[in-house]
Amino acid sequence: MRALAELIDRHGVDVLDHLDREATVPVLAGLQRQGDVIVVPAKTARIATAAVIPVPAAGTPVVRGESGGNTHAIVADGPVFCDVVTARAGELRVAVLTVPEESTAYLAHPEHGYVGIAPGTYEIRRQREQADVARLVAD
Amino acid sequence: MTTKRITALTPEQHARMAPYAQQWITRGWKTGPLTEDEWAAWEQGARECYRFAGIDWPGVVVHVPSPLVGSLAAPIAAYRIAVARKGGAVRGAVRGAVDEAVRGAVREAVGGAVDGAVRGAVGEAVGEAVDEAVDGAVGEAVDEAVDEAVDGAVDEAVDEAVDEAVDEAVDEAVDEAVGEVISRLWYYRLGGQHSAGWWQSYAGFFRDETDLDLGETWDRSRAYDAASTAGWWWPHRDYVMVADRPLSLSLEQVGPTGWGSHRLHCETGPAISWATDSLYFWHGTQVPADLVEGGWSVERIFACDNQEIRRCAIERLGWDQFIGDAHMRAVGAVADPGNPGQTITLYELPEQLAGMYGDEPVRVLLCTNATVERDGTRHRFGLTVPAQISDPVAAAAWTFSLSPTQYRALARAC
Repeated sequence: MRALAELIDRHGVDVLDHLDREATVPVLAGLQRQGDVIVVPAKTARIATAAVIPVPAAGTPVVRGESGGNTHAIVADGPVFCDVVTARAGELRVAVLTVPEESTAYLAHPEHGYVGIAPGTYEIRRQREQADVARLVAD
Repeated sequence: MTTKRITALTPEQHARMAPYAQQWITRGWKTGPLTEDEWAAWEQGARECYRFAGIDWPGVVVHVPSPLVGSLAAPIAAYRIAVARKGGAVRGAVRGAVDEAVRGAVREAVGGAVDGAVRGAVGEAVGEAVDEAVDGAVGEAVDEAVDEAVDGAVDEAVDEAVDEAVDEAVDEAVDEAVGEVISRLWYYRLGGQHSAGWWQSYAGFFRDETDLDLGETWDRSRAYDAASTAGWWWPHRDYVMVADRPLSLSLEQVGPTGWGSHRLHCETGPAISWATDSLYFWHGTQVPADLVEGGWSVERIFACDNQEIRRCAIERLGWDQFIGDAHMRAVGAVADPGNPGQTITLYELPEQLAGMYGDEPVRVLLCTNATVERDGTRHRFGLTVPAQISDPVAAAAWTFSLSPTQYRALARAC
């Protein structure tokens, strides 16, 4: 398990200075939430196919911040695959992530830090609220 | 040999579409008053537009600080000129005669506006010529990659919003006679920098990035482009009135490039401002200045009868503040899965706010961030969820389209 400081060094996504850089980041295979974005294991999300697009060294942005806010990005330790889904109204899925054995993926965000993702396939989802649904219906 | 028709784009031209759209977007987002040189270039373009429309250059150019000022001043000027021509017959006539005299002056004022002729000569003529010279599939590709991108970021996001705001402001114009001419004439204008989508960026792509040769058509489009570097402009036989660029502009991106990509938003001041007036927008909804500047109290929110604006005001205040101030009733509170030490609480929405989110009744789930702020506090925020849900964990699960059991298994939150 790596400490936050080491992950920042390796992957380049810096975090706000008040976050504890000595804290170790657990690498887990279960359901994990980062702010308003959630990482859902394939079995729960009922995904059959793996992701195929390799995550580059600079990382793959999966959710861009609104109003110039911050981005949630996948960065990779070893080969990792992340297929970003075209944004569609009413669709919560933003990406499918596949982490092969021997690799680790991290979902990084400047305000929330890093989330360690163990081998497996996952769906990355964003959060919704009823106000959004009402807006969709109105449109 | 010159190309008179385009049936396909080269791979290089394909690759140029997105950067070309970005050039127009950057131009559309430019702020700050025009410099003397920029005004000179603008005027040269406007002159050429009149020439192509076959109308004598009036030689009188009036700069106004904002589109709202122009929208009131241009019709008033046209009206006053028309009245003066009629020898001041409107003043001193009896009621029935006044109506007819006013109508006559309005007709003449409308007749003096030449935006239609100019638009036809340098707008429609260009659009039609390009349409004819370009193969359907090619046109569609450029339309999608260039025109729609610029539309979403500039026209739709800025121009339409300003247009609606000015329309409302014009509705409030006072004196009847003057009011009538203003409401008829203010939109006899040409678009300026915020109206670059539609055919301008589309035609521009073929003019600048391919070797399609349309001769004088390109001169016309260049003239219109030059005359679109400032704000809205009102071409008239006797004068040209033109608004300056905004002093500030604040947009947020809410979707991928293309239609609906951007909207006006600013939490700390006007979303778009000129020297004389400002407009405030909250996530694309026009709101009164004080909603953004000071924020509204709970009383003010309840007193407002516009649902959309109420929502903006509550978002500005923050649900955690509103829940306390409005003494909302808690339905249930439980430990937040994956977020040790923190609670999620479900609240009933006050009666007076029913219908704020459409037909479906809502409750509000108050959550606390899993990560602390710089000052050690934790940010609290509210999410609207369907009112049928009574369990906070079920509500939280709903926001991620998971079952309560699945959500309870949350291993970690940050």
